[in-house]
Amino acid sequence: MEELEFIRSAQQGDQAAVTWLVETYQRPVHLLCYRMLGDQGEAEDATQEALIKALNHLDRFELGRPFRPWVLRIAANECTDRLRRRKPIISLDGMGEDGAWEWQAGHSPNPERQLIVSERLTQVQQLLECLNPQDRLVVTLFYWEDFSYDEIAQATDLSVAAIKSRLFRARRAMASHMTIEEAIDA
Amino acid sequence: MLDMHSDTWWERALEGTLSPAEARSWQAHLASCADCRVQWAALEQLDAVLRDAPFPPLLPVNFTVRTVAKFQRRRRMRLVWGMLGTIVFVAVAFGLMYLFLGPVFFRIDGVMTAVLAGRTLWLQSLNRLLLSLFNARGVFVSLLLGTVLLLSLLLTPNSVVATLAFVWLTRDKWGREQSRRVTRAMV
Repeated sequence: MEELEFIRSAQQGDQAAVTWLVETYQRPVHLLCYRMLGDQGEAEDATQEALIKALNHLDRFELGRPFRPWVLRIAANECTDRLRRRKPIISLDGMGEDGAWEWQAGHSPNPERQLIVSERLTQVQQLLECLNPQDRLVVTLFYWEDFSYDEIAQATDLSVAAIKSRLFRARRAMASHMTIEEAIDA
Repeated sequence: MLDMHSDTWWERALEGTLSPAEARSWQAHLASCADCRVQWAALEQLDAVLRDAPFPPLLPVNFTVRTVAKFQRRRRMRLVWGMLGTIVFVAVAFGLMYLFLGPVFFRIDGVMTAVLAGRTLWLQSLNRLLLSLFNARGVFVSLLLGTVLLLSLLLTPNSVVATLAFVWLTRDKWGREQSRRVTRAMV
């Protein structure tokens, strides 16, 4: 069954189709939410809320258009609202109050590898946190959702020229932040 | 050729859309300009860090089940609240109608009068209106308005006419006389 058929069925309330949509799009939505929010717990909540909102508004989706930019746009709006409601700085030391990373580092088959992964994740999130939500969204869609400029434009309501400009400014800001961090570490 | 320190040039260089000649010039510039070389190296390093970024942790295995269950639950609650809201709205509407329309609404002879005499009331009002217009404004306006109102009378559903008649009858003595006549006819 093609994606279009699943969407049509979900619009009519078919539970199997709804389940298929959630299963298929939870990963890209979660990836975007995690990059935007930087916290696993909050990203999970935002992912769930974004998917539920998408399902509630499925009747507004135009069947001829691609589904992924549409659902990621809903997720982006959800993350932007959450960012506005809280302070932008997140402490990633230990990755969460429940000590999720410590647990994983201590119990996974390769704790050293997990530690390296967590450090790299921390580094990337710290770079993203120096950006405003709109620039963070553009960077996330470009680097980790593999969106073209046109698809980013669809998901953000910006022009292609504006996206290129934002992407370049964001890269420069992150590169500058990275250089400063390395200088401090040195 | 664009200024190699402009944002536009740097964007094109990062996208890899420089022509071969431009790319050669760019490499030559980087070799000679220390600031640009440092910035370019930082951007390349950043690009590598971002592209090689690890994926975030996976969602729990029961995430799909929980999400679909939550969606279904919220949809059911919306239906329940929608029904409750409709019931409250209808109750308030009936309450207001009873308050303003009074005994006419709940008396059967009042109902019968409104249903049977609604269009007669409408025609009488139309007649009075057209006469006043004819005296004040002349033939054309009267004819135009008369045609529009006559069409509206023919096309309006009887239920709407009856409702409008209810409102009229609470304020009109004629309605009370008609009501008495209908009651006598029913007896």
